[in-house]
Amino acid sequence: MRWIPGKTSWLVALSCALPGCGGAPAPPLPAAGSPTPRQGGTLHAATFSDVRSLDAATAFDTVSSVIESLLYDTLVSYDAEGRLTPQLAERWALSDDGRRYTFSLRRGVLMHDGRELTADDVKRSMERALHPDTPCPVPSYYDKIEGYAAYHAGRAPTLSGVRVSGRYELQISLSSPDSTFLLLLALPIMAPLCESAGRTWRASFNLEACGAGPFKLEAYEAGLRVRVVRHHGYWKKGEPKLDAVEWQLGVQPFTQRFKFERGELDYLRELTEADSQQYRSSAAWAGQGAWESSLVTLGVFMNTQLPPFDDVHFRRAVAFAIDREQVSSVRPGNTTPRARMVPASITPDRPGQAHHRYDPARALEELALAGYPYDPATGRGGYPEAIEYLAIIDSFSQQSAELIQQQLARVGVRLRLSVVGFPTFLAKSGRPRTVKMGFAGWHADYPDPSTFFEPILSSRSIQEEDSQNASFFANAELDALLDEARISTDEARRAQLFERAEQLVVEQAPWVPVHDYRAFELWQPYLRGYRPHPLLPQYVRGAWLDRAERAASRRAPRTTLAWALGRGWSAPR
Amino acid sequence: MLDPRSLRRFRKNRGALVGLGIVVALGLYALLAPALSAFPPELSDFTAPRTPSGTLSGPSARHWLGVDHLYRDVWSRLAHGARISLGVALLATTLSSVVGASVGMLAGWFESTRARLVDTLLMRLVDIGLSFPYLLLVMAIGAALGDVTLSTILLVLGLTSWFGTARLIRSKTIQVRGLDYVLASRALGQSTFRLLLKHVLPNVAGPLIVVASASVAQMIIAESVLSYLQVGLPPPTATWGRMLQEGQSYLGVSPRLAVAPGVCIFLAVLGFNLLGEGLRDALDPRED
Amino acid sequence: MIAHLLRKLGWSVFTIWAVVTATFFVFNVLPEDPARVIAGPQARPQDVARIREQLGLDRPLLIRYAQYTSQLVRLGGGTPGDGTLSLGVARIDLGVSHLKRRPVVELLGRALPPTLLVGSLALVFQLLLGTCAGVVSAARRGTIFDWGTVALTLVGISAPTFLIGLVLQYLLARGLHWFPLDGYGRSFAERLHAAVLPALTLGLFGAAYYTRLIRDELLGLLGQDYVRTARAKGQRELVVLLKHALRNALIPLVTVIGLDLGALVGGAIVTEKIFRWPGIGALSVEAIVDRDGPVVMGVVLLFSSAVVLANFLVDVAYALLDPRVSRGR
Repeated sequence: MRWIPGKTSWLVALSCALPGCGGAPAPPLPAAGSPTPRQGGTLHAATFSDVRSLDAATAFDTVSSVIESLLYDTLVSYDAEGRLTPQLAERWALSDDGRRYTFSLRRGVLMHDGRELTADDVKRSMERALHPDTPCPVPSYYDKIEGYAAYHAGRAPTLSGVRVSGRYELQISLSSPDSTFLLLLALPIMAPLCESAGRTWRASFNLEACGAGPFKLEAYEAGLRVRVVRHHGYWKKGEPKLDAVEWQLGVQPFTQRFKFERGELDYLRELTEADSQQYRSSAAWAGQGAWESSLVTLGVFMNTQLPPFDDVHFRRAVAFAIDREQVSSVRPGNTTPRARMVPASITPDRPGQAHHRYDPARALEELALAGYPYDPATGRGGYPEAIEYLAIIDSFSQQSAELIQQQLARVGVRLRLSVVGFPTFLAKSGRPRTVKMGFAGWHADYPDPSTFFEPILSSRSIQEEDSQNASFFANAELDALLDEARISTDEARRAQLFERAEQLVVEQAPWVPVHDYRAFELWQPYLRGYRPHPLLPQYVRGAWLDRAERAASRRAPRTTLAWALGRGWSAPR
Repeated sequence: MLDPRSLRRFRKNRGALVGLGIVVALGLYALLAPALSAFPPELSDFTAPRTPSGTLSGPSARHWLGVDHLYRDVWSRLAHGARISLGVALLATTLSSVVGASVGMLAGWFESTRARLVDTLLMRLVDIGLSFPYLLLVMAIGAALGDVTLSTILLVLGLTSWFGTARLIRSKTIQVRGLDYVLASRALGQSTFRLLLKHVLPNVAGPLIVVASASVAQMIIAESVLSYLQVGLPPPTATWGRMLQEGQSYLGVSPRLAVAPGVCIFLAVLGFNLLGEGLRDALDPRED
Repeated sequence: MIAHLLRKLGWSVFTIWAVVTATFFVFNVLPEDPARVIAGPQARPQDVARIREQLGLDRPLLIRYAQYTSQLVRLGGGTPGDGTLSLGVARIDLGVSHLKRRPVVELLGRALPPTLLVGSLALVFQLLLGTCAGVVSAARRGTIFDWGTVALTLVGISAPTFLIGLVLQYLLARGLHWFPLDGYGRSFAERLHAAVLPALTLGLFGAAYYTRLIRDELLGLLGQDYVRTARAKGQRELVVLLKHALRNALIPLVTVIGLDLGALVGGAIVTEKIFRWPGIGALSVEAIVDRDGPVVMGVVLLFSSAVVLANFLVDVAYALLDPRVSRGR
C-alpha cells in the first residue's frame, strides 16, 4: 500500500527546552493491575495525517488501513505471528489443479447493519471493488480471477469466476494458480461490505462505512477525528474489549507527545529517534514500547516515459549517484540504507544478492553513455535543464530530496524540488507523462516479495489515473517473471525468480531503493494486550484498557512557580 | 523630505537609532553573506559530528552556529535567509510604494475636478483590493504553479499591498492640491504630470517613507509566514520562515535551530518598525 | 443619510462581485487546466470531463464566466439541505468540494462557528486590553509605565503570529496545563476553554496595535481646546482623557475594528494551523494544499463578503458617530 511518510521530526520539539530538565520523559501512568482482560473504555490515538477514505475498495494508504483494520473483517487474515488464519471464512479448500477455492463462511456473522453475512455479500463486495467505475488503486492484483478482464473492462455484467454455491458457500475460480491469492484476500479491498455499499462505488459510502469488523464507524470528521465504537454483534464472542477507538487526525507530532504525557493519548507512534531515545533509555518506560518491523522500502522513482529517463543509462547514472549512507545518517534509528526492493524482513539478506551501489565514477560513465558527459572538476557538461523532483510536504521525503539533490548535482544532474501535499502527490505521480521523478515509498500489502514488484513495477499496474507504477515501467521480462512466480508453488523457484527481478531493477533502474523506515511505538502501561503486529500496522483491535480511574491517573499540573523556574518539570528518573 | 530639523529630531530619537542600527546590521549581514561563511547554505557537511541520539553538533570554530538537521551551516543559511527576507521585503515595498503613490496621487489630484471618475474608479479598485485575501491568493498561485519563484513572491506581495498606501497618499494629495502655490502653478497652466512630480511628490514623500518603512516590516512577516506554511520558496532555499518551521522539530535537542531564525525575524521586524516610528516622529511631529 | 448608506451598500455588492470576478479570472488564467484546478487532482477523468463540459471550457472565457455567475446565484427558494444557501428569494450555490464530496456551503457553515468564536474572543480581548493600556499609558505619559507599555506594544507588533502561538502553547498549555494543547472541544464550555489560546495569539497583535492607536490619538487630542479647558477646571488627567478625549479617539478605532472584523471572519490561517482549530483558515489551507477549487472560491467569497460587510458597518457607525459624514462629500 501507499506509504505515508511520517512528519519530519516535529516530535523532538519542545520536549526539553527548559533548563533543569534532564531530558528524561515523565514517568508513565500506572495500570490498575487487572489479571484478566476487562471490557470497556475508549482507546485514544492520534496521527499527523488526515484519513483520505474509509471505503474498503479505494482507501489504500497506511493511515486509512489502520482504521480499516478495525472496521472490516476479511475472509482470511493473520494471527499474532503473521500466519494466515481463517476469519470470516471458517475454512477453505483448494482444488487439485490449484485453480478453484471453495470458501465456507462462518455462520451467524452479523454485519454492522444487523444483517447476517452471506456468500452473496462477499460476491457483491468483490464485484463492487473491481467494477470499472470504482477507483480501486490495484484491481490488477485480482486479475487471476476468471472473467476479471471482461468484467473490469465493463464487457460482462458479473464477475464469472466468483460463484455463490450456497448461502454460506462461495467458489472462486482462477484462470491460473496464484500463490498469492489468499494473501490478497486478506486485504481490506476484498472485505465484505453491507448491502448499503451498493453494487457500484459511490463517494458517500466513505462516510457511512459498513462492514463486519469488530468496530463500527460512529464519526468521521475529515481532518479532525475518526471514532469507531464496539460492534455488539461481532461474531467473535467477548470481543472486542474496547468500547471505542478514537483517532485524532492532523495532530502535530510534538503535540502528540504532550498529549501522551498528559494521558490524553494511550498510544504513541509518531515519535522521532531523539524522542524515542529518551523513552527507550528510561527505566520507568521499560517494556512499554517496541520497534515495529520494517515493511517499507523508500526511494526514488524515475518516469521511464519521459526524457531523460527514457534512457536506461541516465536512470542508472542516477542510481549510482545516490549515497544511501548519507541519506540514512540524518535519521538514525528510524532508517537504515536499503539497496534492494524487498525489505530484509521478507527476504533475508544474503551475500551475493543483486543490489544497487553508490559509485559516483560509474554514474559519470553512465551519464556520458546517455550523452551528457560531465566534468566534476570544471563543472562543465551534465544535463542542461533542472529536473522536477516531486516530494511530499512536511515529510522525510522532503529532507531526503534535499540530500539527493546535492548528490545528483555532483554528477551534473540538477534537480528542482516540487513539494506538494500528499493527495496532490498521489494524483500527480499516478498520471502518465506528468512527473519526471520523485519520492517513492511502498509498504508491503502481504508478506511476499511480489508485493514489492507487481503493484509498482509491472506493466499491468500502469493506469491512466492513480497508477501505482509511477515509473510507468513496462518490461516484458519482469512481467513474465512475476507471472511465473505467481503461478509457481515451488518456493526455491520463486526465490530465484524474485532474485532475478531484483537484478532487473538494478539493471533497468526504474526505481532506486534508498532506505527503509520503522517507527518506535509506545503505549501506556494501562493499555494492555497490544504489541506491534509483524504485518498489520497499529493493529489495536485486541487491546484492552486497564485503567483504574481515568481522572485519577491524569497528571496533576505542577505548581506554577516551580514550573516557571524550570524545576520539577519532569521527575528525574 | 528629511530637512535639517527632521534630521535633528530623528537623531535625538533613541528608538529610531536602535531601529536603524538593527536594520543596518542585518543589511550588512545579508550583503556580506558569502564572505562571512566558507560554507554554501545549501550544502551538507557530513563531517560535522552528531551524537547517536541525533543531537546535532553545536557551535564550533568551523560552524559558528552549528549545523542543521541536514548538516548545513546555520550561520550561512541565516545570512542567505536575511538576503531573501530583506531583499523580498525591500523590493516588494518599492513596487508597492511606486504603484500606491502613483494611484494615490492620480486619484487625489482628480478628486474634485471634472475627471473625478478617475478617482472613483481607482478608489473602487482599492476597496476591492483591500477585500481580497492575499495570503490565499499567493498560496493558490503557488499550489497551482507547483513552483514558486522569487519573482512570484515579489510580484504577489508587491501588487497586493499598495492599496493602503494609495488611500493615504490620496488624502495627502488632496491637502497639497489646495495649497496656494500649487494653485498658482496650476493657474500658470503647467501640465498635470509636471505638477504632480514637482509639487505633489515632494510633499507626499514623507508619509510615503513612513508607510514604506512599516510596510517592509509587514513584508518580512508575510514572507516568513509563507515559508513557514511551506508555500513560499521551495527547499532547499534558506529562508527564515522555513528554517524556523524545520527547526522547531529540534527544539528539544538543538533549540538554536528554531531560536536563531525566530530571533532574526523578530529583530528585523522590530528594526523596521522602530525605524518607521522614528521617521514618522521626525517628519510629522506632534504638538505636545 | 439613507441615500448615502444605500449608495455604500450598492458599492459593497459591486465590490464582492468584482472580487469573485477577479478570483475567477485568476483561476482561469493560471497555466493549468482549469477543470483540473477546480476539480482537484483527486477527481477522476470522468469527473474532469464532466466539469469541462459543465464549464464549456472550449468556449470563450467570457461565456464561461457568465455561466459561472449564473450558477452562483439562482432565484428561487431552494430546499434545506440541498447544498445551497437560501437568502429569501435567491440562493447561493458554491458547488461541491471534490475532495470532501460535500457542498461548499455546508463546509463553510461548519467551519464558520469555530472561527467566529475565536475571532470574537480575540476582538474582545484586544479591545479591552488595548483601550485600557492605551488610556493609562497616555495618562501617565513619560513615566516608566508608559515607556514599558510602548516597548511591549512594539514587541507585540513585531512578533509574527507563529512565534506568539508556539510560545503561548508551550507556556500555558504544555507547561501550566491551563488550557488544552489544541483541538476543538465537544461542549460549548470545552470549546470556550480551548479557544482561549488561539484567541490570545490573535489578540496580542491587535491589543498592541490598539494600545498604540489609542495612545497616539489621545496624545494628539491633548492639545485641543476642550481638553485644555477641562484640564484648567482642575479635573484629573485620567478623567479628562476618559470623558473628553476618548470619544474622539474612537473614530479611527472604529475603522480599524471594522477591518479586523472582516479579516477575523476570513480565519486566521497560521493560528488555526498551530492550534488545530477547525475554522475557515484551516479549511482554506487544506483546500489550497489539496487544490480543492470550489472550496477556495467559497472561502474567497466569504472573506471578501465579510470585509465588505464590515466596511459597510463602519460607514454606518461613522454616520451615527459623526453626522458630518452624511452631509459631506
